[in-house]
Order: sequence, then C-alpha cells, then structure tokens
Amino acid sequence: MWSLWRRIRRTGRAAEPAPAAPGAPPPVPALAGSVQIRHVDAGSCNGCEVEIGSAFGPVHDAERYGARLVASPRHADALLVTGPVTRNMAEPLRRTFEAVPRPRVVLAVGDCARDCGVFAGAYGVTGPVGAVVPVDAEVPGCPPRPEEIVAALRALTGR
Amino acid sequence: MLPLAVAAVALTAGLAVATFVKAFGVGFLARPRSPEAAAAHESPPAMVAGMVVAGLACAGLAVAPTAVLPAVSAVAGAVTGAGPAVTGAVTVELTGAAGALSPLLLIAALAGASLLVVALLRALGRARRAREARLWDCGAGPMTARMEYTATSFAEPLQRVFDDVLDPVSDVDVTHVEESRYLVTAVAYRRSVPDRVERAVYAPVLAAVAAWGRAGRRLAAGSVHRYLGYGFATVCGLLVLLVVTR
Amino acid sequence: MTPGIAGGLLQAVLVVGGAPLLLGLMRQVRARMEGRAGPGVGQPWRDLRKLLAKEMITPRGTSEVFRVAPVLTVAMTLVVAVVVPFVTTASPLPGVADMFVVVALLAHGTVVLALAGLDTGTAFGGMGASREVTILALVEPTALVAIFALSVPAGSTGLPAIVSSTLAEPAHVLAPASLLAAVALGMVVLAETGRLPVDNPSTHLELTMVHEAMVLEYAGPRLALVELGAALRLTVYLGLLVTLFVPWGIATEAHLLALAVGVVAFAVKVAAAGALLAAAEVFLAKLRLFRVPELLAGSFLLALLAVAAAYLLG
Repeated sequence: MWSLWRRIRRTGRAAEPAPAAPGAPPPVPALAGSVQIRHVDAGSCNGCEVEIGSAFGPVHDAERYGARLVASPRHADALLVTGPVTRNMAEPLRRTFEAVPRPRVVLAVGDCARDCGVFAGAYGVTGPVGAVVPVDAEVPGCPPRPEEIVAALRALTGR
Repeated sequence: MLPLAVAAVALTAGLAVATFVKAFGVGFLARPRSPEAAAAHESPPAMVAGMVVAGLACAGLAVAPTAVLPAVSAVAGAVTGAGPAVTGAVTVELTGAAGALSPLLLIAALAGASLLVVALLRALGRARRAREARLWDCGAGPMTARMEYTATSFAEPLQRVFDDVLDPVSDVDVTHVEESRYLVTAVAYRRSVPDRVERAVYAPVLAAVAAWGRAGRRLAAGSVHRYLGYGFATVCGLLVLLVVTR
Repeated sequence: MTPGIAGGLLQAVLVVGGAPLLLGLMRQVRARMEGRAGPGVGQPWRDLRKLLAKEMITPRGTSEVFRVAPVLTVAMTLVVAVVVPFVTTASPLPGVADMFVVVALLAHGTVVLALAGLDTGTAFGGMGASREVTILALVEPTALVAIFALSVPAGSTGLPAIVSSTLAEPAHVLAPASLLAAVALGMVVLAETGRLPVDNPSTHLELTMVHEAMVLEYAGPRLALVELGAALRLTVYLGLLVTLFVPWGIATEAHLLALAVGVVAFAVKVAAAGALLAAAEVFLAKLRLFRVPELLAGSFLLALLAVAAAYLLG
C-alpha cells in the first residue's frame, strides 16, 4: 500500500493538458456534456481497440470531456464501431444499434470501419459499417491516433 | 443471551428477504421457465377468493397492526404479569424500549414520494411514450426460457455460503462426444438439499425404533407353546426372586 | 407548516441535490489519484440531464415490476432522507420510523431492483439479482445487530434519540460498543452501496458485476432514476454513518441559523466521508464473489461483539 501511495505521489498527474475545445456546438444538443459509449468490435484486428483503450487511459483521459464507456447499449448514446463488418457481426451490430435509445449516434473508428481497409473484398466481410447502420461521424486512420478519437468524442460532447 | 437471540432473528430476516425475492421473482416474473408453467391458467373464482381473503387479511394486518395488537398484547401482558407490551393507535409504540413504527404513515409517505417522483419524471423527461424493443441479448439469437435464472441458480450463491450447514448433494454429469473429450454433448446438473436434521437426528432414532420392533416381532411368533414357555419362565423367575430377596 | 416538516423537506432537497455531486466528487478523487484529470464534480448531473432527454425503452416480455422498480427505489430512499435526522433532530415524522425501519426501507430499495432484474428474464438480470440478494441477505443481519448495539446506550431505536444521546455524552462514541458497531456499519455501507471491495462501481465486465448487471435493460429516464437512486443510497448510507458517529453540527432546535449550520455540517461530513472512501478504494481490489461472505461474516461478528459489549460494559 505504501509503495502504491508513493507511486501516486511520484507520478502526480499523467493526463496531458487538454487541447483547445471544439468550436462548433455539438451536433446532437441533447447529448451535450455527456456521451456514454458502447464499443462494438464488428471484426476488428484489435489495433483500434488498443487506441481506444489508450484514449480512455490516464494520458489522454477522454472521460474528462464527458465521454464514458458503458456496459450496455441501453445505457449508451453513441456506438463506437471498429473493424470491417464481418458476416457474423452484421446482425448483432444491427441489433445493438436498435437497442440504443434515441437520440443516438454511430462513430466509425478506423479505416476498416470506413471502407473495409485491407480487408475489402474478403469473403467473410459484409462491408463497411455504413453499409449496416447509419454512420454519423468517422475517424480515419489505421489505427487512428488516440488524439483523433478523443477529438471525435469531444465534437460530440462539445467540451 | 439477548445478543444471540437478536443475531438469530437478524439472520432469519436476511434469509427471509432472499426467500421472498426468489419465490416471487421466479414464480411470477419473466417468461415461464417450464412447459408446465407456460400452460398455466387461472383457477376458478371460488379458489381464488380464498387466497384473496387471506391476502387481504395479511395486507390489512401489515398496514394497520394497531387494530389487533393492543388486544393481543393485553393478553400477553396478563399472562406474563407485565403491562401491555405495545401501545398506540396509529403508531406502534413499544413499552420498555423506546421504539416506534407506523406502517400506515409510512405507506402514505411512500405513496407520496412515489407520486412526486412520477410527477417530476413526467415534467422533466421528454419521452412521452416508451418504445418497445427486444431484450438486450448481446446481439446474439433470441433469449430463450432456458437462459433465465431458475430457483436453483438463484439460490446457488447463498447455498454455497451455507454449504457447511446445509450439506447439499450435487452431481454434475458430463457426456462427451465419442471422438473427443473436449466436445460435450450434454451436461446434466442435479442438486438437492436433503434436510440435515432429518438425516442426523430422525433417521437414527427411527432406525433404532424399527430395529426394536423387529426384535419384538421375533419374540411373538404366534406359537402357543412359546407363550406358555414365557409364562412358565416368568413364574420361575419371580419365585427365584422371592426366595433370594426374602 | 411545522419546523419539523420544513426540516425534513430541506433534508430531502439537500440529499437529492447533493447525491450526484457526491458521486461526482468521489469519481473526481479517484481520477486524480489515478493521474487522470477527471470529468468534474458536476458530471453525474450532466449525465442525469441527458438521460432525462432520452427515449424510454420497454423491453418486450417485462411486466409492471420492471417499470415501477426505479420509482420505488427512489421513493424509498427519499422517505429515508426525510426521516433520518441528517440536518435537524426535529424529525418531521417522529413516530413513523425508527432505525430498523430505515434499514428495512433501504433494503427494500435493493429488493425491488432485484425483482426488476429477474423480471427481464435475461441471464445477466438474474445473475445480478441473485448476487445482490445474496449479499443483501448476509448484510442485513449485520446492520440490524449493529443498530441494536447502538440503541442500547440510548435506550431507544429512534434516530433522534440516539443522536441526542451522543450529543449529550460525546464519550459514547468512543465506547467499545460504538466503535465496533461503527466498523460493522461501515462494511454494511460498502456492501449495500456496491463499492469496492464488494462490487466495482465502474466495471464494464458483466461477469464481475453485481449491481449493474441487474439494471442493464434500463434506458433513458428510467435509467436516470436508477442512477439517481444509486447516488441517493450512497449519500443516505454515508449520511447515516456520519449522523450516528459524528453527530456534531446537527440542529437540535428549529432555528434558522442552526439549520444552516446543520446543512453545512452535513455536506462537509458526507463529502469528507465520500472522499475518504474514494481514496481508500484506489488501494483496494474487488474481492472474489465467494470471498465476500467471509468479509460480511467478519462484520457480523463485530456487530455481535458490539451488542455483547453494549450489554456487558455499558
């Protein structure tokens, strides 16, 4: 316990200073200041997951802008979808989207989610996320940098 | 002694809550858990009426215990020689230890608070009507009744906590696919909680009584000669006893 | 309007307004100790505001129990907030509820949510309900026995009487019975409000959830009620703890200045207790579910010792 306490004292604040807030008002006014997120891995290679984990880690701390990961789509306002949508995940993704109460937004994270990336044309892939559920915003990159994911979330919360 | 009594009552109260949740939750809530339950239908009114009367009596007693308690406590007080243990018209007040409970006012307060919450929700919430949606099944196929918690699964953690006391008998049967032990065709799970007191106390006593009875049966085999022999032996024994003790 | 009722309503408003802030404060303390910046103390209020603006969803196959449960938990906690002398001992409803009733009301808040979890018929709902009720069944005895221990020196189970007795004789707090009961009730608070090491309030893994697994189906305004209910329970339990063991500052007469002092004292005490709890949680890991009963058995033993001490020593 003492070693943990000393470590807390020594580390201090790990979060980097926040970049300038997004100038534009949030696209969905009802979600201003608080966006709860359900992450759906629709067939990702887990590269984007590592970056999402990093975005919510101590350094980038997406939580300080009012975004929070939750356990159920019923609690969520936004879906964070990664990966090309595989055949097995197309229906679950559709159902997850249906389970989210309105108003809801879908964020396609990573090149695969936008246009299938390197997996385009693969036999197990249905298509990009936009082909299955309506996408409101996209975060390009393979994988996208945590800063970009955080920026996309901040655009939603407006903080 | 009192602390132990309080502890026992408190433990019972905790377990009673769990029992109630299990009985009501598994019996009445969610989808039917067995084909028999799915085919259940309402009993005729005459049968329901009896339960309604009993239920109303319970509810009445819970809401207004003061209607009955003074009379009951007067009797109890007269028997023990002390004054009435409980007084009060709306609020139940204990004599001896200062404690009070007013079910009627409490229910009124709860109803008021509930109405307030609903009114605030109506005033602040924007949703007028609720949307119907399928249950959240993690996106997989539809939920079936087999996925629901049953009475056994609901009580399992508590049973495990009291393992040493209850001493349950459980049995897991796994049937493997012939080709591979890693693939399973069926898993059967059985668990029963035999009454421990019955096993430890009643069973030996009953067995001893039965053995005694069997032994007695051998004495009385129905032969007249043997009964005459018993009589003769008893008389002889008595005579010997008289001779020795005189 | 009598001063008592005014005091009770004041307490309810204070608890409802302050509960999300307390939750926000605790999350903020945790975030700072983890090296994060944190979303700010007001975040739970922002979450609630947003949830109220969202769509309500009724899953197919659920009954009225599912719909009524959030309202009932909040209502029960509200009644407790009115009855317990958090700010003033001039209880608005003196005879309505003693401490046993308060504990029973809080337990019933859990019971209705557990029933709602079972009502959904999902595996997670049933699992959450089963676990929550298991913990509840083991916690309830501790709570009842600890309260009994506290009521012995005061000669009453009424909360105002206990508080007045402690205020009159501050040495009571340091009596062995009171200290043992304090530790036992502290563990009760941890278990009942779903904090570490009994339950992890910020878990996202269904298999480790206790409380949250029951409420996975709630959405929109109903979820807002469930979350507000959880925050209220946390506030009320912490409030109960500080009211019983650190009662200084509570107004004993219906006086405007005394009430103001009472409000400030209550806010400061509960905030301090919450911050302490949040800081302690950083050093704790969640216990395995089947190790939790050992912890609760320990607290039950402490409560029992408290009663014994109350009888033998005082």
